[in-house]
Amino acid sequence: MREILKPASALLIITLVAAVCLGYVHAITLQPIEAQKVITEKNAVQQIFGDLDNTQPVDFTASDSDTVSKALACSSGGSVVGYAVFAAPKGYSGSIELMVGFDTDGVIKGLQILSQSETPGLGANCVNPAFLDQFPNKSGVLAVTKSSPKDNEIQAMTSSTITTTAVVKGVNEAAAFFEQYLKGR
Amino acid sequence: MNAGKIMRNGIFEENPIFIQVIGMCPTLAVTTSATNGVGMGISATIVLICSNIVISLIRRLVPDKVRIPCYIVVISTFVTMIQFLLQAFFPALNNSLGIFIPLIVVNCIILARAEAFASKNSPAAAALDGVAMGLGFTLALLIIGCIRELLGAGSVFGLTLLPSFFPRTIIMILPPGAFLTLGLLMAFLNVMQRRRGVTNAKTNQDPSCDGCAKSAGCADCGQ
Amino acid sequence: MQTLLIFMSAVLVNNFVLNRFLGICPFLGVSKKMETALGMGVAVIFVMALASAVTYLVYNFILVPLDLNYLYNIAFILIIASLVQLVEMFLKKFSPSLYQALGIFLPLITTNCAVLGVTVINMESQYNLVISVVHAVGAAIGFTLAIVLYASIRERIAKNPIPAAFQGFPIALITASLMSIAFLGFSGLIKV
Repeated sequence: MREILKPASALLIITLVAAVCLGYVHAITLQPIEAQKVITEKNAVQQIFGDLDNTQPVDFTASDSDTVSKALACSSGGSVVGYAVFAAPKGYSGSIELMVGFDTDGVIKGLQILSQSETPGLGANCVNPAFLDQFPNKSGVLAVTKSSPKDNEIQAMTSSTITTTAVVKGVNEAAAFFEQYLKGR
Repeated sequence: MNAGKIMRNGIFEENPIFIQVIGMCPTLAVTTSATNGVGMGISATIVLICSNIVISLIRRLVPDKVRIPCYIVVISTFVTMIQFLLQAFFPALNNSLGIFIPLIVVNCIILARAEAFASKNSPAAAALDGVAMGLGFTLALLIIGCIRELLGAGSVFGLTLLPSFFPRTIIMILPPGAFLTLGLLMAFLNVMQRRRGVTNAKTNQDPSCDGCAKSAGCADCGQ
Repeated sequence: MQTLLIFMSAVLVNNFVLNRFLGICPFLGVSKKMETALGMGVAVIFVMALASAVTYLVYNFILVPLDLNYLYNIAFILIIASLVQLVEMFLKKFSPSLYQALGIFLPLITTNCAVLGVTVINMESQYNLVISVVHAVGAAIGFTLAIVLYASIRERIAKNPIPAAFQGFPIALITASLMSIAFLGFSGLIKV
């Protein structure tokens, strides 16, 4: 009996001490982690809409949309100037968190990538202006093309079709969300 | 064992990647860019130093039977702490290293050093061993990361170095490039060692389990 | 349909060894002989399926309700370590012949990052119990496929003259690189 109890209790004590230490570190890093998220979001909204007076979360039932997690109504000078819709489509490795800015008519004002873990040098290029600048002033359902994009087409990044498709899918879902909840508000 | 020897061992003579050939998963996976390689190297080094110190401190208290689970608990505690700190202060790095941060737990280097060194030496020596092995690991990741990023994306640490007319060899930052780079680097090391007249038994042999913590129970070593 | 897609993509497109770099140590270490490679593969399939089911239950019914999900890493690795021990004891007692065949591989599996990897991926992708197990089995079959193919190539390499500089690890890694290129071809198979 002793032979079992001694190692078992040693392991238990070590695990308990470990759990307590982790709980402590978790508690002190929780705030900076949250703060990081808020800062990234704020910067993204500001990139697209400039300085705003107020951003107001839009209510919707979560089950209606798989990828859209949040939407903000952005107002400046007392009236709503547009909406920021947050989506997280699945990319080549893990989900790509992005934010699409729409004006009140549903035309894309801009796209920002909040976090991604795509391959550096390939899919990770989706954060570059060369790719992101294709999106403003487009509306409706977007498609991916390999060369010479037409009106509602986005040119895929070299060797990163999966990432491009994922981002465009996220944008399209954000647009569908806009049609359903935000249009004509 | 003196300090200089421990350092030399970790960085050159028993370099975890090039000589011992352990901890391959993160080595191959995160070296798509130099920044990622160094980020991984530093994270693993911090975990290695901390776990080496703690394991050396508790080495007399832990019953032999449950020593591996105890080491694993200590290591995974530090790994989770590193994960929180990265999330809080380096979110971009945390995203690009992704799943390989929690997987530092099963990085053979850390468990192997716990078993082979920290459990037999004083905390100070164990800490130094952690620094040395960690540096060796980081150095290897840095070299592989620089080569792959330079050839695949034309840059190093995100700075574009190759002129734009120079073709980017995209395969280098895809999975096959990782195996290829490491294979060629090791062949190069073999040649260097032959030139110097050193026949390093380990690199010339087939993959060995020398550094593996579980080598006693390992099928391959039993053969 | 979704389930089948996840399964196929785990086997071929996102092959654990050749694409995600999980489980490289056994891939390089236990692939000198076809027979041992196959044994390792079968043991991995078994443990990964079991581990992903148990970690799913522990994560969703113990850690999440207690708001302790940040402890997942410690919990998962301990579960895997003790599960491996349990399986080993169980086989020793009830199926000595199976123990003979798989026993030597089991202790190695604890530090196989493919096992911890699959449980973490399941958790991050929020798969349900069935999908978690399907994904784990798919990933493990992908691992087995890769390691068995690799072992058969290496058996042939061993019989051929290799330039001195490339003997041992270098040629093994370059072989893996070529296999990985072949598996890249599967990436067009399933649209993610």
